[in-house]
Amino acid sequence: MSALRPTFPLAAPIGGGDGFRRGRAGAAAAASSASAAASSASASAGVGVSLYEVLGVAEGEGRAEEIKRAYRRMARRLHPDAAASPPGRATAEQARRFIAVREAYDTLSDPHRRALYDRSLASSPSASHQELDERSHWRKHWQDQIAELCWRSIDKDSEDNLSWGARMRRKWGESLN
Amino acid sequence: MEVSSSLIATHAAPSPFTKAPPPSSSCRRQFSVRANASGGNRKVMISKEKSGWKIDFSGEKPATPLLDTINYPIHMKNLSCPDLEQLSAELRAEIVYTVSKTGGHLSASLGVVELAVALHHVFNTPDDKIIWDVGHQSYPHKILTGRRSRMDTIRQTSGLAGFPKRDESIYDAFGAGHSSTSISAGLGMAVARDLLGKKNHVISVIGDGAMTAGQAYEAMNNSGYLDSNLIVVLNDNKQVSLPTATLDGPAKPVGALSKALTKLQASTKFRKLREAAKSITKQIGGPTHDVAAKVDEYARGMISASGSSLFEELGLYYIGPVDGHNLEDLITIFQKVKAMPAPGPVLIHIVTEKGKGYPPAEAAPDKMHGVVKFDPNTGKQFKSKSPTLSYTQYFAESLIKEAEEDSKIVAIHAAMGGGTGLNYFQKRFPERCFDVGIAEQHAVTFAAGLAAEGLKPFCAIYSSFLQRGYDQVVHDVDLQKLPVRFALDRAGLVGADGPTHCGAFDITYMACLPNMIVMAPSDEAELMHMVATAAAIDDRPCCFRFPRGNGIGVALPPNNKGTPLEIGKGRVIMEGTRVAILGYGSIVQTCIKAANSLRAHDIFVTVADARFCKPLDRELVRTLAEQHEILVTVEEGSVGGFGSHVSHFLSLNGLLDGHLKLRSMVLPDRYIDHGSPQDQIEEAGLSTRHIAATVLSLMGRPKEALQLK
Repeated sequence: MSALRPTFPLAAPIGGGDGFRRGRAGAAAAASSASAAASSASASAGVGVSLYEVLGVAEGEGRAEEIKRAYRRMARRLHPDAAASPPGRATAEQARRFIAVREAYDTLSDPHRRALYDRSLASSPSASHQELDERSHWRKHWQDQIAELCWRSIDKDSEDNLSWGARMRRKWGESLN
Repeated sequence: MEVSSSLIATHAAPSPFTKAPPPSSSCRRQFSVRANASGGNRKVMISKEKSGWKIDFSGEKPATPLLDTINYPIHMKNLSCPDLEQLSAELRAEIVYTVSKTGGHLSASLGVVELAVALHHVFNTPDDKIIWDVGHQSYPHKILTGRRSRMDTIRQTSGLAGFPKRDESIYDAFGAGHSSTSISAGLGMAVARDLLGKKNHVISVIGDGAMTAGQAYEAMNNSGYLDSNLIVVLNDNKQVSLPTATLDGPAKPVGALSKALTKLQASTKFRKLREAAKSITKQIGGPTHDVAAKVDEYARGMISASGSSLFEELGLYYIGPVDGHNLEDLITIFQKVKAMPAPGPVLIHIVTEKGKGYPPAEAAPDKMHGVVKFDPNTGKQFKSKSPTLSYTQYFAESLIKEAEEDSKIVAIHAAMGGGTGLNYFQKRFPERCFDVGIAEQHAVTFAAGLAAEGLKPFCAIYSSFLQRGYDQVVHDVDLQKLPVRFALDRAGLVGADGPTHCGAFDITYMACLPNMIVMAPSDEAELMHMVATAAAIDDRPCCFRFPRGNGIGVALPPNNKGTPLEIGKGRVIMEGTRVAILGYGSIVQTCIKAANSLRAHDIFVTVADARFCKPLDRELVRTLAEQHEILVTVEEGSVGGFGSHVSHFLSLNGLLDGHLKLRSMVLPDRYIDHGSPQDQIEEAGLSTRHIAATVLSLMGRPKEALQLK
């Protein structure tokens, strides 16, 4: 199934509410939309809430069956067509929670995506809830990127790279010898 | 207080936040003592605190001892990182105090101080080329490249230009003013370098707002394909619209790109996994790096947030996000990329804050993007009180009034909510105002689509910016005769912004289109009537142009609601004999003044306001031609516009075969440099004096023409 990914309509008026404009992404890579879904699901559910809490299951433990059952339970309660709550009142809140549940299920029901999510939770218990210490992570991130670029740079102009730039670099490199 | 150890740059401290060691007897300390000794008891105003450098804006311009030693980038080469941080603080103070005296673009420059310092420290300009997109953030660059002493003349007649200009300095690699051209230009320079066998670096600096334009993608796509070495710095300050705010607060980002960039900055969870994968591949290293790189590429595409793959799909290697105010980080990254032999095209995504370091700018909703003279202590601008509002505001008012009565009216602009006045419209009708980002081509065709379905779109785009969407005007709007209304603000000369923003060509390029109705108001009341006229024209496209500046103070129609004019009908403003002056647009006011000044010479001219260039008021032109000996047309536009249409009509109808002396006064066939509006009009030869002198010369009284004041 494809994940829900929040989108902005490209020419939307500024100031228009975007709270519930979530659409299905067409050909998005599964994992990258998992990250989007995970962060948006957590965001919809509120900061500090893991996807497991959204579904109401014990963290990391539930088998696929339990996840499915938990989802069905929550969906029955929160589905817009379910007549549980008084009509009109609190339906916006209900819709928001339903979307969070939906996105949590999308991530946790796919074994691959669930594994990625579990690992992220394990490595830093607080990171999923804190966007604040972003910048301290950035440095490590770009240091890795630079290291990789160094490798690529050495490798880039090998014989089988036929890009225009590579050909020009080889040409001038040879003429210096 | 004068000899404070906090003024001294620490020597090669690993982090800028460590405590300063006790002052050694470095010559730099003596330098700072000297600077303060001359000032007597003057307070130290740039000081280093734990959290960074703090500038005190409450007094006079602070001493800038380090900046005083920098005339050209080469003087920065031997500075240490802490020195460069002190330099950045001094540069910020310099910018704030300078712009407070001259007006100009403030906060964009403040946001890129560290970037400019880092670039000039690491790279060797002018051999290495730095291209600033749009260019309004280039003030620190100009200060560091030998123009500090002239910064007090910026944006003034014969002074520094407000944007990079190749004629001005060899350090300005490419002229800018319109946005989103830096990557294209940079790629051109990189390819030229490769073909010529040179070894310099090319760096293009582009903002997240400018990234919303299609040309940036065209350039990135081509860069990825050609694989030439090129560095693109994406300066992301989350300000995609100008002036970066609606009436109620900061403008929200306008498209999916901004969302992607935000994700890039915010993604945490899955980056952790990628870091784990990376450390494994790093350990493998050595000859297996090929395989490792592939694995990482795969992992990155799968795991990372969507944004970085966007640039990588286009073929640019993405690095970031990076804290754009951390000099150490910036210098490290630039040095490393510079040292690589074959990085190909690289995109470095830095995150900055617009207006950083100047609290009033950081706090202002529009971030003090473009300012007039202001008080550095408070940030309060000295806006002169005018009895009339600007043409832009009259336009917005009357459009709102039209839209109140007709629910089909919608408004479109391209990231210029403040400049076009449509922020007011957006506040009144939030669902009917569309900001498409810096995308004029899309704006025009988007409006065409709206019109095709029966809505009444008003496209408010500056005259010079509409040049970008010209094919769309011709092919999508005019050819299909769709009723899109174009409101061309900033028509004619625009003053301090200079030729890049000058709206010289719109009469020419609009009036040559077969189906377009082209009109221009001579004052603000006429503008309101033309807005109403445009709203009423529903079977073909139309446009109207109005200048930068304020109204002249005529009586406005009741309730600011205009009445539609009769199409193709001008008006006679004053009657005279022998000489007729036919003006088009706001220059009619100058014609009236010229006519008044000619009374002193016993000449009574007829002054007419053409109102329409297309369809021309043939009756009026014929009458003027038949009943006068001399006909002078005046417009604030290039050759090929109103005057050409008049002369074409006259010649086709045989009216040039007889007694008539026809002269067309237009903008000269060259670019008019930035300056004050009065100076520019003088330079262009379209002032009151010039019009009167033309009439006198034609009447055989050239000596009086020369004597006019």
